[in-house]
Amino acid sequence: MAVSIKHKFVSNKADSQDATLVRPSNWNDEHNLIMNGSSLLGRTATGTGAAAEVTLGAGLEFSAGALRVKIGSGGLQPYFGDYTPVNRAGDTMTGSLVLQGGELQIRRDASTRVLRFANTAGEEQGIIYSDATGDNLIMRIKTSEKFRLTLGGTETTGRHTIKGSNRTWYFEHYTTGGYFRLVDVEGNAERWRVGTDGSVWTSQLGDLSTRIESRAAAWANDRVSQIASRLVSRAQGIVSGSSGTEGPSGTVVTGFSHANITSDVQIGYYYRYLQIYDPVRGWVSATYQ
Amino acid sequence: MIITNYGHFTRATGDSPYIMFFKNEEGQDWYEMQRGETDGVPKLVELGDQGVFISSIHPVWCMVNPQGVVTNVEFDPSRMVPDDKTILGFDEATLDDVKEGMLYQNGELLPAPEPEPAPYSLSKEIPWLRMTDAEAEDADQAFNSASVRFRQAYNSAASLTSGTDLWNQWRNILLSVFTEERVDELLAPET
Repeated sequence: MAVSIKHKFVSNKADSQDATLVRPSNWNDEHNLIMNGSSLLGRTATGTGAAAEVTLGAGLEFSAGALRVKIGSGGLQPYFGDYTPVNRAGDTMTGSLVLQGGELQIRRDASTRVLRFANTAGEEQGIIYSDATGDNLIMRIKTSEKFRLTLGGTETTGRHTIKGSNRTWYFEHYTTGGYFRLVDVEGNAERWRVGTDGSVWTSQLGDLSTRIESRAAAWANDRVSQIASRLVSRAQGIVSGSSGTEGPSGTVVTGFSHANITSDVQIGYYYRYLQIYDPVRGWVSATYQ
Repeated sequence: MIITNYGHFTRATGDSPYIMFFKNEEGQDWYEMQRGETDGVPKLVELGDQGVFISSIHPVWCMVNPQGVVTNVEFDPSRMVPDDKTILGFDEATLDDVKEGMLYQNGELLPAPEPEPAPYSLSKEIPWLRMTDAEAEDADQAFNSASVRFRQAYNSAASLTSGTDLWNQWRNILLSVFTEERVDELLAPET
């Protein structure tokens, strides 16, 4: 609406013919309010007084007949109407909040500092907060704490899932079984677990301790069942004169014979080597110390 | 017949004091060779449960002593204990082609030499009784020409044993007056 300034009293008299005199139509006409450049009419001085021109400050401009606020290097924005101040508890801001070259600080003077996530109904879905000690940054999903980054390390709770291009695995502390486990999601089966007593289990080998014990027993039994012995490589020795002799170490005397009779008394003897079958080495010749 | 020489093995130390180990000139372990764990040597033998022989890369094997004499012939190399022995493997051969007593010389297998005749004892009067009177005269003359040492030893001996020094000296004395054929007849064993 255009600005209109008139006298409160409106004359109903007809104008006279003399244009040099103020006529009723002149009295009833609009007044001219002359201002210099882009400015507002107002009063900046205290107390009661005459109105004056108020110039626009930084960030305020006239655009297409409207007063707009200029924010940074961006375009002019309406100063009122499209924006709601969000500086009070319970205020809601819509749209994206972009921080560039600055930081978002969340301060709270009480025991915790909280970044809270909620659904459209305002129901809490999760929070990230630091506790009163300042040594823990905690992520809670709904009512369950899931992740805690502490000054000395990291703690997590619940299931941790690792997705590959064609396989998904998760590991967790399985409360029901009381052990830590690795689960193949596509296979819908546990693949590995370790108990609080240190026992280790895999879907392929079962309990490793039991597996080792059974394999060791089977191996030992196999070794025993494979044991064999034999006498091989017959050779002949000669006892001559009055002295005696023994077969080479590790041999067994298996027979006697006449030997070539010269001037001395000679006795021939046969010996063989005792072999033991070792499933790892094969046939080996036994000896003694 | 194709012969593969696996070397001459002697006793060596191993990882157990209760097992007899053998290595050849190149330091190759005999057991490892059998199991095929030696570079450049194929696995020599396949064994089944309890070491039962299944197969071998050669149909015939033998061991040779340092004198070059074949001492043992086997089809299963695991049965050979190369205690100061050379091991040979044979292809294009059978167990009938390799016999104990044969000689291995210069890479070839040679027939076994004729065995030395077994020594025997002969009463001293036997050769004299086999001579004619004329032969005895000649032999006696040669005997008396021999050294005193020989004659004393001959007279002291109860009998003569082939292969001994006394036997050989007596034989040489007889050869000085008789032919070798006649001497062999005179010194032949008693029947």
